[in-house]
Amino acid sequence: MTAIYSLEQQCAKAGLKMTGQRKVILQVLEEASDHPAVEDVFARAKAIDPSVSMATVYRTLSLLDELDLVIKHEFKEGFARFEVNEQHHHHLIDLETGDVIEFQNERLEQLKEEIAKELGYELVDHTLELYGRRLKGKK
Amino acid sequence: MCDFRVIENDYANDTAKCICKPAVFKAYESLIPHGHKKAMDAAMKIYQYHHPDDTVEDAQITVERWLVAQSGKIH
Repeated sequence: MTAIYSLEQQCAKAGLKMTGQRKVILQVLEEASDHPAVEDVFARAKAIDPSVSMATVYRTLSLLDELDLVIKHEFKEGFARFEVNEQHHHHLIDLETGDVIEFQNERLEQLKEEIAKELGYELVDHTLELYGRRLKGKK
Repeated sequence: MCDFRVIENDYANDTAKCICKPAVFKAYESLIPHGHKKAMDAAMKIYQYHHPDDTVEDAQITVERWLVAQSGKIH
């Protein structure tokens, strides 16, 4: 099982200096349920921290793109939209508390590929959520 | 099974005031960055685990009412 890192942790691991403004921009990206354009990121970041400038947003998004931590979508609108390049992971949802645990599992990834292949398919996409209740005596 | 202890300040005004409600909210809010459908599926699964006798339609109405009462909207 592999740990899932937040965008901020991934940036820190990549050696990116974490200033207050950058943290705000990362927060905006992580909370986005759409694919925001630079202007959207700027507006949302400015609502949290008025000192954030458009230049900082451009520079940060450019750095994140170079580090492959965001995906830059070039739609036909003439401007780019961004989304966090999430590590592939699954969720285990605790039915009693509502806790959502993110996890990665290499064996599971291989198994999914094998199942698709055995059925004569190339695996393109999938969704998987596990639901459970905590075993007694386990913290 | 759900313990039907009354939760104070139940603004949703439901007859079944269940302690699974915080779990429904927590899972929904945790998964909403992954989209409404995934979040709603988890909220429904938790509700149905605690209320297996409710119909799917009744469960959906209750969960949606809780979510709207909580945040004023469903994402």
